[in-house]
Amino acid sequence: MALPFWGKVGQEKLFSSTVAVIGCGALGCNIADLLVRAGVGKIRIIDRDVVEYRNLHRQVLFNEEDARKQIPKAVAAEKHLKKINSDVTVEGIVDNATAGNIEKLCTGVNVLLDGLDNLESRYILNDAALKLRIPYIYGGAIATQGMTMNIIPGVTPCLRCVFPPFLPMYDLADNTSIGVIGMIPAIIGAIEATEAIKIIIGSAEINPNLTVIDLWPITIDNVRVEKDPECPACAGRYEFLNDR
Amino acid sequence: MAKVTVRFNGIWRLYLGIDSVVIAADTVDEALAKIEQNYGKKFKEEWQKKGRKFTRNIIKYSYITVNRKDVRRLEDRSLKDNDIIDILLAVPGG
Repeated sequence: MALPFWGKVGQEKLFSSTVAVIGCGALGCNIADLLVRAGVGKIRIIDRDVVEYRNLHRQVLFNEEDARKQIPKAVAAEKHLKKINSDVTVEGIVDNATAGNIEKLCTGVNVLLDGLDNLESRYILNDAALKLRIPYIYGGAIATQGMTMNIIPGVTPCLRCVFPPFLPMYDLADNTSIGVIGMIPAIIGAIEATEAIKIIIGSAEINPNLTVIDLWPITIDNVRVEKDPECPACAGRYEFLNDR
Repeated sequence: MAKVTVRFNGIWRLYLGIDSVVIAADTVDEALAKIEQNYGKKFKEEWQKKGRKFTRNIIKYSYITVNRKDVRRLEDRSLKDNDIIDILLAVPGG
């Protein structure tokens, strides 16, 4: 709040806002932790899975007791986040984000944050964000690499503009089979949280690029992305919502 | 032929195990065909080792820039020495 570009007005805007974190794995934990500490007003966390021991090196909201009791991530996250900042309304929802429920999950939300672990759900979220005209911050992390991009409906390219979807890509790679170090989702999650705050407080410094980071060795690239004039989602054809 | 640098990012880098290569090509389309033939093939072989199969051109599903400009928007598709082609696929994990 002491920062001039943030200020009391920005803090009030943040406290008046509602964000949704879709997926509460490594990305989602970091995003939620930072936004709750920053003083977002309300945070909705959606995840169906339970905490497992193998999650603990990177999913920073959870502990061994959560894993031993196999507590749903959304429940454990809600419990821990309320202890971090009791002023924040935390709503944990134990469910998958699907084509059937995504619009309901996005109701009343100012910014959608990507904590997902697969591409298919991201294309569903992308369609919902465009349809409901809610900013969506894409983020992904695997191995030592991650990327993030802001999707502002009607303004920026969407996920489909940049990465055409195809079915086999859905299992192209996952963190269970390939692995991921805890630091890369922490960094990508921190960027997602920062961009969400910028969007909420109306900053002019919103990242227009696809930011690509590798930690091993360290490389950081800002890739300029452009709209695809033939993108169905940007033209209002939400195939990932309607095809199911 | 122009000598251009191809930089592999994200999943491409992970599967190929290399950051970049220098190839010779006079046009963007020639370069992309060479990348698919030489590196797309290796990418798919690595993928197949993980029990997955994909036969289509992987390059078509990648985001590609030449000197940071979206390849789909390029009017002049000729290449010159030291041009840089970046290739990315969406990072799926989280």
